[in-house]
Amino acid sequence: MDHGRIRKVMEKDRTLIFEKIKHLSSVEPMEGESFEKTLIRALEQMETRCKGFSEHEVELERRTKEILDVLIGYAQLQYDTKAAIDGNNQLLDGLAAGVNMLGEELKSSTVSSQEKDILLKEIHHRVKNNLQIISSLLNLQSDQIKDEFAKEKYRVSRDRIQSMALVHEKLYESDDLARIDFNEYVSSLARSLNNSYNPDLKRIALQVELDLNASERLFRIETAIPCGLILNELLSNAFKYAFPGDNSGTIKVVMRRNKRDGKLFYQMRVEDDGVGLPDELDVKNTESLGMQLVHMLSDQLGAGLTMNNGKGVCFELEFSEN
Amino acid sequence: MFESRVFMTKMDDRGFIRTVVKPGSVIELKDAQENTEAVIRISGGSNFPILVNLTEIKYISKEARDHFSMRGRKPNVICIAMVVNKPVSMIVGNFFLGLNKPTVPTKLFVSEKSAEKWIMEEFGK
Repeated sequence: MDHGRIRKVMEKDRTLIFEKIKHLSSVEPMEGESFEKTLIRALEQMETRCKGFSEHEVELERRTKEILDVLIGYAQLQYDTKAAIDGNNQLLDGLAAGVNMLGEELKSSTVSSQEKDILLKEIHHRVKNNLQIISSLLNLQSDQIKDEFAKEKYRVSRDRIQSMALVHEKLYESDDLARIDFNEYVSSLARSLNNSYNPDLKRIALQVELDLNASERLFRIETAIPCGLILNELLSNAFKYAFPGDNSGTIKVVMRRNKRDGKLFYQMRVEDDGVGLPDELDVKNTESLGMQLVHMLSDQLGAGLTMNNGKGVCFELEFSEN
Repeated sequence: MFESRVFMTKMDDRGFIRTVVKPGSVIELKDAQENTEAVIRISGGSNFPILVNLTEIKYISKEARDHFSMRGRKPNVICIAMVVNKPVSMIVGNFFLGLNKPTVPTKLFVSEKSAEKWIMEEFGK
């Protein structure tokens, strides 16, 4: 074994290792210091530096994570936590203060928005109740009236009020307090009028076809009320006049949407296969309050109203929700 | 001169109120109300510009921010010059420019000198 050669290789490696450590630690040998002592000092220096850097990193990560957790909490509307402001890092303190303050503002506006929703729900509920009281009063009053013509006028007024009450009922039942599901509204109104005018549900068949998807059938109150009143008039007329005596037939309510020039239009159609309107009747200039209402409300909606009178009557209203 | 847990407030010789927030202060509604009373007392009921040095602030609660925005009450100052030159104070100051905007003109400055200059030029007597 060549011990001299082995010692030489080891010495070479030792020098290489020392040079590397010296470079990494920036430690220079002091005068008279042994190789081992310099090496230990260099390793200690590196250990301190590594430890310090790691603590800083850990602290940075801990505080960043804490601020992130607070932000996530705020996104989930949980405002019970706040990020700590410990004075150790100005930038993180600024970030934490900003996050905390935004949370306070968000909490305040969320609470006030929730309070507004509750209030709005309450208002719709009260309006609906008041309209229903008026409707009941008309009903009670009509019980004392012997004249059938006058009695009918009470009934028509009551139905109009109920069609508006139904909009407010649907509004406070919906999650979105500003818009109602018009499919549900049309179904409820049609069902209610069917029960009122067609109690045995046999002579006249009512078909409701609603071809509106979830996003298309949300109507604002400004559209829903006039549409509801128009539907109420057209349906009531069909029930009352399309099938005189014991005649039987079908009334159809159809809601469709149509896109034209990128704009969404709705078509509301009420048609029957009954006796049709008398030829001499001019629906635009009739004295019937119901038809006058239909025309006035169509104008209010900016809607186009067409009528076909042949084998039965078909009214079609085309309007835009906006 | 008024000194509370978090504020030091006095009338400056040049005719404006000067308030300094003590280092590490967390300002609550009670502190804000106390300082407003002190400002009214010091100014003898007249409205003056106010310079608020927020540099060393640690935090200010929503209630205190709302109080200093002076919404829903008669303002007790003509304008507010805020001195902010550390991150927390800058964040707080910017809340007063937007979300908690006072009803009187409010501006942020990084030094007392520039804040004083604005007050004297715009609102000085």
